[in-house]
Amino acid sequence: MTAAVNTPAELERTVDLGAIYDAHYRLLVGLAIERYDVSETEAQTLAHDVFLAFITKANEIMDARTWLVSAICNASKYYLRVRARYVSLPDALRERPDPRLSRVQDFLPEQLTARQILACLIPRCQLALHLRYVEGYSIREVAVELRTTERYAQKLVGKCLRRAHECYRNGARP
Amino acid sequence: MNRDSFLHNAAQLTAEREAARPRIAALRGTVSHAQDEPVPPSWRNAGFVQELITAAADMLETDARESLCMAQLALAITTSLPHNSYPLPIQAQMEAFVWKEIGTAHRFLSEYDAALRAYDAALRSVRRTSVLAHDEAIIELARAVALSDLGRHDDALALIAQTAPVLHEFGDGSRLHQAALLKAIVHQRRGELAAARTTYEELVSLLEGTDDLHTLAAVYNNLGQVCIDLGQPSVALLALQHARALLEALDMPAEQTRTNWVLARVLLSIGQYANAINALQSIRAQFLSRGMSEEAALVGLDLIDASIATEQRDRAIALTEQVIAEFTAAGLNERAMTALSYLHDLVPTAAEPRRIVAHVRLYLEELRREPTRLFLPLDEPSP
Repeated sequence: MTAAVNTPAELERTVDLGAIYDAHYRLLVGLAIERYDVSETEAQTLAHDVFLAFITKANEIMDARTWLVSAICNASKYYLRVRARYVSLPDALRERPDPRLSRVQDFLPEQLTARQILACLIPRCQLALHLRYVEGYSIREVAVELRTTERYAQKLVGKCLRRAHECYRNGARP
Repeated sequence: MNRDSFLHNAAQLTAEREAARPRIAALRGTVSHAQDEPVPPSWRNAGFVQELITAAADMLETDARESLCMAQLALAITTSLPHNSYPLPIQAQMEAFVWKEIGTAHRFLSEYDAALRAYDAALRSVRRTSVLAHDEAIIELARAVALSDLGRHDDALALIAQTAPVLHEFGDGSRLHQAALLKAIVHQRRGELAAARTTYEELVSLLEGTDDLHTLAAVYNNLGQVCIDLGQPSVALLALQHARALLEALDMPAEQTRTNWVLARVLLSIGQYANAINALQSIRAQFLSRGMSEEAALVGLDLIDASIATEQRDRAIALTEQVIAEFTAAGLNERAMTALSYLHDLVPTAAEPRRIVAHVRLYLEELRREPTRLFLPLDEPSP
């Protein structure tokens, strides 16, 4: 039985993104504000993000207006759901910095370095380390993903880690 | 300000994609080598990743392994792009599309656990931002296909029920048809053949005259199969011939081979053995040339069946040995070997060898969905 979920790439159409933006921006912001009671600043941010999501799909969407209106409505509902979970901070905490940022001087460089190190590895190593340490795949799952044996996947992860250490020592240069 | 930034992002992505196209065209056939070479700086951008995703999707039909390699290369590049290179919606959407393509390639290769893991990662990516509800529905629909392939029909139906209203809301008629098609497939797999046939026929009337030829071809193909099961071979032949013509026009050779396979099985079922054998031999050769060993083995079983039906047991035994050798060479599931060895041992002397072929064939099909399934022999009467 055949399920047709992998439609071949759509034919490229010329889409004037500037004209679509001009024709719909105020409508989207207005909808977020009036229908969902989102603040104007947030509504503008949501509308902007909706347009960004639209870029890669512009060629396949036949009815831009329907798509954009639906996108802003869903985005506003999502935003309201998330905002509903916020709890206001006691006054005493207003002057204190966000605890998540207490180690920002450490973790931001660490994150940047990690990306730099990944970028200096070959794609197979990037993939193996990403699957193992970012996605949390087991060695067996890494092996399936890379279509190899568990033994080889284990060796590959070890080898790529050593290579990552070397990159780090060399200042993360390829 | 927002407008300028939006248009700047759009222009940047367009330029990156245009620059990527010739580079990716040159990569075809050599992607696995590219995974062992440093990534050139000119590849490290979202446009390159998006073009890799498109190439992977285009290649799925003809070479799912190469498609997987492409998508994995795209993942490696995506995850090592400099921090904040693109706004969050673009970054999250790109990661989600990469994972979705990885999942679909795994599904084509019958690696369902890996496919579901990839779809889960795709969902995590889209949920990082509020504006990707449409993409979330698309990924959930792809996941529903995998779940249906695994026989988890209730889960698949629940996902279809959840995604169809979203697709409708976004005006995505094409994927709505695909969701309806999947629902009919679930009916068919559950043995609700009349309901499946009705839905397929409704979809034919909806899709005739539209430009969604791909879904229409799939609908005709499935309508053909359900009519075979309903014992209506003439209606089946007509539907399958429609499907084949559409697939030929769409230049989808792997799907065309699959449809030819169903047509050959219709010929087998109505006793046109010589025509069926000719067709099956050609289909098997095509699957083998594309590295689709499991499909080739299943066609081999149809040929064994045809050989037995035409009183050529020696040929049936030789074919069984050939299929076993191909399975061994491809390193496929060892449980399949047990079933094939059982067939090899019994074909020479069994009173009803076609029953054994049908039993082993059914087992091999189920094994693709459930790789740990145990093989149980038939209660074969003594010869």
